[in-house]
Amino acid sequence: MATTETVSAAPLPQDRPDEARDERKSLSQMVLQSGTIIALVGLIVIFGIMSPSGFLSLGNLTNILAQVAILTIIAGAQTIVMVTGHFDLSVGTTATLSGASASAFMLSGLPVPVAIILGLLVGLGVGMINGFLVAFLNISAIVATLATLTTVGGLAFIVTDGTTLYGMPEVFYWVGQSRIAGLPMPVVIAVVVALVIWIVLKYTTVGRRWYAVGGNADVARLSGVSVRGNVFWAFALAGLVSGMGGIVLVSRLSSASATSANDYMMLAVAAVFLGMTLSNSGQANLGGTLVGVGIIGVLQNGLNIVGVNTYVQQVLTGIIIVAAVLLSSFKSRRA
Amino acid sequence: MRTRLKIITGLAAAAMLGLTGCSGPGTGSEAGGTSGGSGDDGTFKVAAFTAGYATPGGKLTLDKFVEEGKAKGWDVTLYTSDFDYDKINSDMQSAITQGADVILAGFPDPRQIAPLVNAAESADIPIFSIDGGVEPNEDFVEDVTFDQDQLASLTVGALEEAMGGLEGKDVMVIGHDPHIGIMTRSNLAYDMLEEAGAIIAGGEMKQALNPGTSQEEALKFVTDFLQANPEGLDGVWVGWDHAALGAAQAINEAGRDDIYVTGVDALGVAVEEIKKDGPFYASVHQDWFSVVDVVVEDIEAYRADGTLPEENFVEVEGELIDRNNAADFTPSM
Repeated sequence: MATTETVSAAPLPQDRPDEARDERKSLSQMVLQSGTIIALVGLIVIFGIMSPSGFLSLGNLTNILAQVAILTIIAGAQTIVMVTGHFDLSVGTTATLSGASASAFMLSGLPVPVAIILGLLVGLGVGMINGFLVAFLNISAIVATLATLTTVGGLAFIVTDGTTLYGMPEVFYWVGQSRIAGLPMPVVIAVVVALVIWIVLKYTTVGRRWYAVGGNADVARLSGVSVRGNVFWAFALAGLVSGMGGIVLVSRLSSASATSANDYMMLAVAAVFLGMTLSNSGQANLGGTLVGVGIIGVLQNGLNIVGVNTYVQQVLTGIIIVAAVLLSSFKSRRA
Repeated sequence: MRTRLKIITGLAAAAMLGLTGCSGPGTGSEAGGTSGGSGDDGTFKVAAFTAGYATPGGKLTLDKFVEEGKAKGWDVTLYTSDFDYDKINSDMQSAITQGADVILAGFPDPRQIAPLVNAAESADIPIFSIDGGVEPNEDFVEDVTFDQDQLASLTVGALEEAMGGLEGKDVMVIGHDPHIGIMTRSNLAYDMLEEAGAIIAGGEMKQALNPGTSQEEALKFVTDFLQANPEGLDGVWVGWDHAALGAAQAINEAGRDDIYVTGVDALGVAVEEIKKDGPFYASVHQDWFSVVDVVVEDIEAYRADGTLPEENFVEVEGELIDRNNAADFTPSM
C-alpha cells in the first residue's frame, strides 16, 4: 500500500516541471512562429510613430498595397515552387520577358488580348522548360533556373533590342493603371492571384501533392504521387504567374525595358523565406508569403517616408532576411 | 531507351536555350570585315567594349560604332557586360593578347579598368574612349564626351523656368553614383540648385540602385515623398530619363499639375511625355552618333599612318528638348 501511495503521489511533482517546460516551449515556439508577424506590427508601429500623418494615412495604405502588388504576384509564383521543395531563380527575368514580349506583340499590331495571352504563354513556356530540366533531367533547381535566368535575361534584351518599348494601345494600361472601387487594378489582380494560389495549395489535391512532394519526395513517391509530374507543373504554373506579374508591371509603367522586373526575384525569395517561419512545418505557405511581402513593402515605404538612404534600405532588407532565416532555423531545431 | 530520349531532349532544350542566349546582343561578340592594314595578319583589329550595353544609349552607340567600323573594313569585336568590369578586364586582356591594334572604350568607368589599361600600355595599344569621364585622362589617347556641366545647366535652367525660379523651391534630386556621368551631372545639378537657393527635398540626393529598374524606384521615391510631404515638392531633377519617367508618373498619379520633372537622354518615351505638357518638362539629347563619327575618323587616321588625336579630351554639347521643340525632334533611342 505504501508503495502504491508513493507511486500515485510521485507523478504530481514530476508533472509540474514537464508542464511548465511544455508551456515554456510552446510559448517560445509561439514567439518564434509569430516573430514575422511581430516584426510586421513592430515596423508599422515604429514608422507610425516616426511619421504619423504620412505613414498611417489611408492614402499611404493604398500606396503600400499598390507598391507590393507585383511583388505579391511574383512571390506567389515563387511560393508554388518552394512548396515542392525547389527554388526558381528565374521568376524575375521570366516576368521581364513576358512583359516585354506582350509589349512587342502589341507594338507589332496584334490585338491586346492576344498579345497578353502570348505573353503569358511565354512565361508558361519558360516555366515548363524549368520544370522539365528539374523534374525529368534531375538537374538541381538552382543550377537549372540560374541557367534559365541568364538565357531568359538575354532573350529580354533581344525582344526589346536593348531599349525601352513604349506606345502600347491605351486600353492595355487599364490592366496596370485603372482603379476599381478606389483600389488600384494591380492590387485587385494580386488579390485574385493570391486567392487562387491559396485555394489551390490548401484545398485541392494537386496542392496537397505539392506539399507532400516538398515534405518528403520519397514518401510521396511511395504513396503513389507522381513527383516528377507535380514538380514539372509547379514550375510551369510559377512561370505563368511570373509572366502575369511582368505584364501587369509593364502596363503599370507604360513601358517595357530589358530588365524591368529582374530585381523581383530576390524580393520574392525573401518574402517566401519570411513567410516560412510562420508555418509549423517550416514549409512555404501563401499566408506567410503575404506577411513577408507586407514586411518588405512596409519597410521600403516607411524608410522612404522617413527619408532613409536607399543604400541603407538595402542593408536593412538583407538583415531582416537573415534574421527571418535564423528564426526559422531556431524553430526547426526546437521542433 | 526512355532515359536516352530524355537526355537527347534535354540536351536539345539546353542547346536551344544556349543558342538563343548566345545570339543575344548583350552576351556575344561581333566580328567585322577584314580589309585594311596595320595588324600582323593584314587586318586592322579593333577591340571595343562597354559595360553599359544594357542601357539604351550604350547599345545604340556601340552598335553604331561596330557598323561604322565594319564599313571602314576593320575587324571589330565587341565585348559587353552588364556593369561587370571584371569580365570586361579579362575579355580585353585576352583581346590584347590576340593582337588587337586599337581599343575602343564605350562608356567606361575609368576607376575600374586599370588591368586592361596596363595590358594595353604594355602592348603599346592606344585606347580611344567614348564618354570615359569628366576630365582629361592619360589612359586614353582620346576621350569624346558630353559636357556634364552643360547638361546640368540646361536641365536646372529648364526646371527653374518651369517652377518660376529656384529660390525657396523644394527640389528632389535623383542620381545613380555608380555611373560616373550621371554621378557628375547629378552632383553639379545639386550644387547649382543649392547655390540658387533651392531646398533639396529629403535633405540629400536620392540614389537609384539599378538603372534598369529605376523607373519603378523613382515612382516609389516620389509617391512616398508626396505621401509624407504633400506640399513639400516643386520639382524633381533626375539624371536620366528612365527614372524621370517614374517621377513624372508619380506626380500624375498624385493628381498634381504644379510639380515638374527634368531628365537627360531624350528617350522616345520621354519626348512623348514632354509633348503632353504634363509634369515631364524637359530632357537633353546627346547626339552619340556624332560622337561615334569623331572617334571613328580619328581611329581611321591612326590606322592610316599612326596619327594620334591632338587633344585627348573633347567635350561636346547636348541639346535641350522641351515643350518648344519636342514636336520637331526625332528621338534616336
